[in-house]
Amino acid sequence: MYNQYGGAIFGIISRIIKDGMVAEEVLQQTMLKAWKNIDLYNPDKSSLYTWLHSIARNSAIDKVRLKSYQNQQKTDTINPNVHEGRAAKIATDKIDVDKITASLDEKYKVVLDKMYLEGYSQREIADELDIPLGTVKTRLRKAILFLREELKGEKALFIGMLLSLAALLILLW
Amino acid sequence: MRLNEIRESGLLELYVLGELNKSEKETVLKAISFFPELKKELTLIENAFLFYAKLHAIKPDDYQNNGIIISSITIGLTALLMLLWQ
Repeated sequence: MYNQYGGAIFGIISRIIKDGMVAEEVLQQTMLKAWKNIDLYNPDKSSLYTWLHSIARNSAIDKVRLKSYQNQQKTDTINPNVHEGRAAKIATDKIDVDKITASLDEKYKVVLDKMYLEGYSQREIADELDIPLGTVKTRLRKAILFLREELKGEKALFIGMLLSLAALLILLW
Repeated sequence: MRLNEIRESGLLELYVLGELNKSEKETVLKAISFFPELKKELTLIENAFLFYAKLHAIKPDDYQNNGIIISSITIGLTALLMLLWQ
């Protein structure tokens, strides 16, 4: 579970919690919570990843709402070297993300990022972007439809590569 | 709600994100039991979210791995001790 989804889950937590050390603590709490409550997971309701994501997102949001966390962040702003944070590492795969989302309309991407990666609620996005709730729903859906098409393309490419490799092996044989 | 209506409403995406209120959630669950093909639709949405999350994945430090292993062993040992105690 950790090996398969740890990176993806940590990416989400790190978008909500900028402090790298605290983000890692929340990742650890998420995995332990999932492990302890695995009996509550119902595969008929969601995939394992979706379930994990929901635990991680809620844990991260709860953490940033804590007064103690907010006070710590204020102290760290005065003394920025206390925790290095993950901002630099987040940028590592930015090229891939940019390549894939290059043709995704910015207005859809903003909604997707805020809701999925940064833990915003529909209402918070609607207020911040000054758009109706219905528009938030529509934009999120459009972004997901775009990702579904991209994913289909990635799979087709992978199968194509496998077939080419198989053909090459047969030829060499 | 008709099949296409629920597909196009954006409710399924929000259901996956856990962003629905109680009545919206009931609507989705009722629709899924009525239209089993929505299950496949949900899987496609979940896969799209996972795909996006993997694009933004960050590898945690190794000590994180060790922390989880140590905590897991501690929990396992505690459970074992409790069983033996009984």
